[in-house]
Amino acid sequence: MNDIPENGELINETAEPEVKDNSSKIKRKNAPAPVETPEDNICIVCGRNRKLKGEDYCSSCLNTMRHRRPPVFAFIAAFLVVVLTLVALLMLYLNYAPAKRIIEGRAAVRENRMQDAYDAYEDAFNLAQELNTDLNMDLVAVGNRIRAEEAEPIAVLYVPYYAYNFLSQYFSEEDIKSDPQMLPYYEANADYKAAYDEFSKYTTALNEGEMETDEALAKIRELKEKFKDDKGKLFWVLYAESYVDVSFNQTGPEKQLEYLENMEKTCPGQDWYYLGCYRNLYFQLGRYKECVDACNAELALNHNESEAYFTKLKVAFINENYEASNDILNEFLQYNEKNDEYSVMQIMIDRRFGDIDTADSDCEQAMKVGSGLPELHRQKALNALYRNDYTAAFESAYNAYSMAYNLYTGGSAESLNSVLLETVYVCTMMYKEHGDGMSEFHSDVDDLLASFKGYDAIATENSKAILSGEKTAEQVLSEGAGDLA
Amino acid sequence: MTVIYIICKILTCPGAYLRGFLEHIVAKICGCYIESDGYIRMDEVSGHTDHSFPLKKGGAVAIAFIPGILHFVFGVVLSFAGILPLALLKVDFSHHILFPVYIIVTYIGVSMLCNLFPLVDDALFCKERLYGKEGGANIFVRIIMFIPTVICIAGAYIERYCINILIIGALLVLMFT
Repeated sequence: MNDIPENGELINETAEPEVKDNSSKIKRKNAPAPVETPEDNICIVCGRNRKLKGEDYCSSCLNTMRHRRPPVFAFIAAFLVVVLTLVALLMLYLNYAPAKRIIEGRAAVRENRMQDAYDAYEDAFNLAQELNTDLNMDLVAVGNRIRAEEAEPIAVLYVPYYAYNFLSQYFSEEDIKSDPQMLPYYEANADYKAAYDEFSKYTTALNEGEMETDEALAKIRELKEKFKDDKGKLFWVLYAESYVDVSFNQTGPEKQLEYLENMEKTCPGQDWYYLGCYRNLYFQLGRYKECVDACNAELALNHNESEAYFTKLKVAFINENYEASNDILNEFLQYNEKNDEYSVMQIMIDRRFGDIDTADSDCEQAMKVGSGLPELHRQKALNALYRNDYTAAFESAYNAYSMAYNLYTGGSAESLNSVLLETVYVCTMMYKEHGDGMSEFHSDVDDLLASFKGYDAIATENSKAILSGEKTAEQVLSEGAGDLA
Repeated sequence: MTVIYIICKILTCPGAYLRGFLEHIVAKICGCYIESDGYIRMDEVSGHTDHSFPLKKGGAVAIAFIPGILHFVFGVVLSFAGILPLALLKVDFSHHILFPVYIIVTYIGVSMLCNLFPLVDDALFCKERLYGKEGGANIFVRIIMFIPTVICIAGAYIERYCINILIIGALLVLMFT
């Protein structure tokens, strides 16, 4: 049946509507004009009607094509995508801060800056929590898988089995065991627990006076035989043996070092423990070159290990090497920010090499930025002691002690260290002997000294020299390690 | 090949549909005739709008580039917004609301990035209008548009043979491992 003609067009019944030119439009456009045949006059869309003059389409198709509108659904979809993109921008903005800290954390792990890495990961979680609290909605989330990454710096900074304790807050035991990234921490914890269950009964009995030291050591040595083929557990047995020997037999550094070397030979790979011990023992024994080597090895494991920098600095002081001291400061800056520890080192260098005015101004400057570190107050006390200003020395030492005590009661066991106690003792004694009695903490002097009863017997040679008047504080603080202890 | 092409377009249907829609809008603005209905069809024009060629050079350039640029901008924002928390912040199933949202956002974003380029015909026509012997663009425009045109033509071929899906898939695998 013929179609109804539109706009005067004729219906071409001979046309084959199915046949369409499938070649490229470009080719169609650029091809030389072919000899016209009746088929060439057919509309390229419907393939039925004749083309309009100068067009490729019939008037019907042309009309339809001119007025063909996008479906309403497409407008709605486009609108939704625009809205979704705005929401996505907001999500990007909110996720940016935690994501940035995680990237920084990963970079810190790669560069062995473990404290920085740990801080960055913790920051990421805290930032997400703060954002959600501020927005009163859970819009930012950091997945628990990040905790598995965070375990690595924890294992280096503390003890490998701490990493397992940390992970067990977020993952089930099965999850930890089945994940290759977390499995080593599970194994470290299993080793520790198995060994601890065995040796703890002897160490506890020893601590409670229910067992003699030799008997406890004999029992622990039996455990060495039991675990001789399991290095992971054997390490903890040896550790317990060392602890008992040092704590109850008052073993000296020479024997401790010998024991440590044997321990490393028997159970290698526990550098997180050995390097710190080597550092302290070599320093105590005056084997400074080996001490620096141990510090460098420790820093290779964790560039944020401030104790290693401080020990190296003391070695440089003992060697009277000002350039080496500054090099250590620069090395510290290479991997760490200009923080309180940097300021402490700077003050120590200035004072040790006689520039007490710069040491004072550095100390004031550092305290303006952040005075949360007891060590900064201790350095201020030493500066005052150096200048024979006993009231200022006592007050700063008192502040350092109060801060450290607060940290200690808050769980930071290492805050009240022997060096700080030595400083508080000397400063308080000097204030009592030579001070003007005008300190705001004057009323606490007697109480404080009462807490140091018997301390004179264990005080260091440097402290004794200052207190006896054999040496001035200036002499003590500008020679040797440049400190009281 | 057409079957694979159609499968790819169905897999990336949000992007393909929006690409067709944007081409439709731009083609209408440029005064082209829209030859067919629907944006996702079972032929080699799927994910695009079948339209007549524009008469002006600007039209040819607009049809080749504007939908792609818009897709790129929206696709990058959506992809980043989804991939950042999933790959970097490691958001997982335990976050019952955010996880599906991020998956949807990533899917839409990636599907838009999979539909960046015009049909090969449109890309070649754009090149023809800019660099053709008869009535090409002036030298300044030719220089400015050289690299975008090359990218456009290469992208159009890559998209025709669905290589873009493989590239984006590989990038995603890289990001999540």
